[in-house]
Amino acid sequence: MRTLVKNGLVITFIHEGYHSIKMKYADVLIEDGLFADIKEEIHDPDAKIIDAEGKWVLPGFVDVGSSCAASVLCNGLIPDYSRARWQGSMIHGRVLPMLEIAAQLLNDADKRAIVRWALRQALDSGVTTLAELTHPAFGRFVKEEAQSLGLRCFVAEEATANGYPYAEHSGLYQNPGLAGGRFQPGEGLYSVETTSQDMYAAARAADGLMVRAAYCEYEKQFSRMTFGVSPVGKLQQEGVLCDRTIVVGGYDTDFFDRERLRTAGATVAMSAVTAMQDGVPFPVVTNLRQDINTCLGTGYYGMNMLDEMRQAAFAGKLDSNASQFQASDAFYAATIAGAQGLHRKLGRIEPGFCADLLVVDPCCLAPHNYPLIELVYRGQCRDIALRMVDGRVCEHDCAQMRQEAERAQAAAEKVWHEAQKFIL
Amino acid sequence: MIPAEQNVRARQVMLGPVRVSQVCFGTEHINRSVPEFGGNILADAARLHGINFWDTDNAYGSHTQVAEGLKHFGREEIVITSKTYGRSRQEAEYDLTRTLRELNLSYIDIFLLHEVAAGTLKAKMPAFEYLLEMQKKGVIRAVGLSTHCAPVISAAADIPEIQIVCAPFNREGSRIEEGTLSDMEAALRKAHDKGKGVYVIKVLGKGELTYDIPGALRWAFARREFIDVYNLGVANLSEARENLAVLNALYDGEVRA
Repeated sequence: MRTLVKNGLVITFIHEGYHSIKMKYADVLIEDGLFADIKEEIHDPDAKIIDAEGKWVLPGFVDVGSSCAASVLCNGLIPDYSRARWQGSMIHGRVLPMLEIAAQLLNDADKRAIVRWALRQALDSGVTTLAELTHPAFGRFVKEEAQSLGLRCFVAEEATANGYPYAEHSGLYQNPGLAGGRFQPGEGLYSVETTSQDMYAAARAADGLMVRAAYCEYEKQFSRMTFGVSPVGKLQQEGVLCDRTIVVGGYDTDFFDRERLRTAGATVAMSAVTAMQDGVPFPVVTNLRQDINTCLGTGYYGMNMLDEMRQAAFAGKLDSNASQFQASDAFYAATIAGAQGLHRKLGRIEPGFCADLLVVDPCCLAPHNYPLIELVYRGQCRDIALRMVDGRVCEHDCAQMRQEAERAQAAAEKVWHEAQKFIL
Repeated sequence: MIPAEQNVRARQVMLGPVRVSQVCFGTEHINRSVPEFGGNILADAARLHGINFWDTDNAYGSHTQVAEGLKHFGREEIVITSKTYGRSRQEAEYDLTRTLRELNLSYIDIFLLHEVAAGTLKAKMPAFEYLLEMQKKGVIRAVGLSTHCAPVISAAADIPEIQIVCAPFNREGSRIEEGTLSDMEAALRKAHDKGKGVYVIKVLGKGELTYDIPGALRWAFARREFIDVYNLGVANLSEARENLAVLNALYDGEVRA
């Protein structure tokens, strides 16, 4: 089965010595789920034609470090609140307790509804590949619902020795011990706060690892007091930093942490939306200057990669200056950087790469002289006219989306009702 | 701000055997615009300001904009540089063929070995020999290399067939990967003395010297005794015009370096 996307303006990074943006009016031929050819004029009478005249054709976004359930459950709980009473972190005070309540309270149908709505939002915003670091109670549903929606999805359930850490005021206070615990290949690690020596030993043998680190003040203080080093330093000591490691977080790193990441060849997955809502640094330019592959993920507080790119472009300017982190840099972080972290042929429109693409109708983004700037700073989900994963068009039904949102809302309300008793 | 209607025009100079504008439009940053808009910027740079020398490479992603810009002119009105990272004949042939196809050209004015790293010049000579063959066939007018390394410029100065060299040069020595700023100056002087066309890039240190653009430009322009052309990467006509105004002011004796 072949598909031919005709007459669009193809916007992709190319790699030749280094990565740079290229825009070209071209046809894109897709065969067996891969990009087969890209050139000015392709004739293929047997191919299914997608007319992209007047539209932009981009690679799909790669969201690394998403958290589907938290993004739905914590909507409205995070920005504008003082972090002081939660020991510097809403994650321990609100996010993890909400996840725990949901894990215990909700039935499978409710969990599935929450996850599906989150994934639907990701797809809506142009995500075609998602690497989720998830509470174990939701892992199965993320896999199944992603498959149902046609999303490419890698799920790493968080392994912990004795459960999650919660802030003292949460009503669920827990300071998990570091003994015991198990780690299986394919799982992720929650963080150094909850990982035992046995788990590190197993994680060292794994081919690829997602682990949360340098993501909040509480974790940093815990690591320094308990281990005498930073969280990233602890991961290095335990031998789990390598070129197949994705560190989710990375907001609070010093020069030496970054050197550890760079020399290991690890990828850092950051969420600008998370950093901005938590009011913490977003050191993306600092990372790039230190030669660390840094990609974007939607994190705990949202599922919208257009939002994520926009916030990253703004936050990157705060990390350096107005011109050092641009729309194209955010686009890079949302495509190629994530693909490199996952070691997959994704994120570029190039022969041999997975045929994940977006067709953007730019009618609301005029005057169309600088497409990436217009899309990153002003683009909305409605501007994406078509989403394709592995050469297959993903269905996009607004009425169905509304039903899914309502089901997720009903499930989330149950969690909020319970949470009002102590953490809200 | 220099108004568009002000007559700020680039001087014409010789770069090796090729007559070009003294300011070259480095097209790397123009890749962010749609092809026709980027092409219009380049066309206006040539029409309004005489900047008829455009530097590109497939690695910059700007071939499409340059191709659009070329549509506005007769072929001989514009001078184009492109490059190859290739080491072998086959790689150089692939890059040259693709460049000509993407730019819709039957010949290219200048074609360079791109970003030759220290110690790799010898390994790239098969590619260079292919470029020389194409030069003899009239497909390339002038050949040379670009590098961020002073020793490579110095070595290139001793190779008679190399007509043009290109290197980063700014007052902070930024983007020079091998050798000091003094080494680079000495190497460029040597190349110029041996009759090579010399053009410099990264005069603003790829953005690092933008805190004092006129000062950085004046510093580089003051060294024009061994620099023929200034390749300034800009994203729009306004930036090109500002740069050109500083250069012309220096030449006209209005500003002392």
